[in-house]
Amino acid sequence: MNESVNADTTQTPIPPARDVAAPEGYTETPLWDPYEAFMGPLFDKRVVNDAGEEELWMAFCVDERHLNMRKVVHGGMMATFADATMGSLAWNAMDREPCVTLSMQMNFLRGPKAGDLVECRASMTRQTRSVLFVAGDFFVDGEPVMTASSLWKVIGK
Amino acid sequence: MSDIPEGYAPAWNEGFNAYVGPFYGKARDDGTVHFFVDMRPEHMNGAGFPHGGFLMAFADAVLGTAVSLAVDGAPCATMTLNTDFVASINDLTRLEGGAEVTRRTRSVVFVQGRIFAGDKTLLTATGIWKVLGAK
Repeated sequence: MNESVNADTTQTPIPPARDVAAPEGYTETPLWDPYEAFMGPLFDKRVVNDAGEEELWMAFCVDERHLNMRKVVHGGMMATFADATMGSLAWNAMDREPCVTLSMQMNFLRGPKAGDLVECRASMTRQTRSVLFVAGDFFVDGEPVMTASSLWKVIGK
Repeated sequence: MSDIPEGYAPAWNEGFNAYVGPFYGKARDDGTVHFFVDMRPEHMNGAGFPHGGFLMAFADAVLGTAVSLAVDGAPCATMTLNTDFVASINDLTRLEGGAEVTRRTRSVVFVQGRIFAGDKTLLTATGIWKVLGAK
């Protein structure tokens, strides 16, 4: 079992609101934000791509808490997942200094449905001393469902 | 219990909105919408501020309702949502939201709005919604 990207043995994570088995290859992500635990669980894995670079992937399993009235994932849930995954990449890249979202842009391509596994590959577009540019590509069964780009600020820098 | 002003009702109160909200909304005569949500501990991040995902979710509900009014309730879906996190607030308080449609075509709707607490703007948002089935 891989260690989660957000592992921290010095604290006890907040238990997620639901018990969901980790998808194959993924580890349950320890959650430190009450809101992410309320919407979770979330899962993550790190994989080495064909270019030899390490990629961060995160995932969640869609259930009825995440759906809108059209029975597809609420845009707000996709935004929530984007903030959690892209924020994890930013936070770890900054040696876990507190980071805040400055800006997030999302294009919604398809609406995932209940039972789908939504996966995100988060990547660092540029990192400066105080600001990080993070991109996210979101998939269900390998089909793109959302693209996102975001800007993060390290507090105090 | 929260204090619900007259004329406000829980918007699209199923699934996500019912679980995370309710988000109370009201349509105004000029076509804009006004919303509020009373924050709870489960809306926060570990530092005691509203989670960015929660703020964006509230914004999606507020902007989406303004869009829905502009198209007389025809089914719509968010195509793009852009959000800027202007400020934050470390208090479990009532958040408000407002949105207005800037342009409506046959198949897409442009909308803008903001989330605020008192006189402090927390988030500004713009988005484009698709009117489903319209070309």
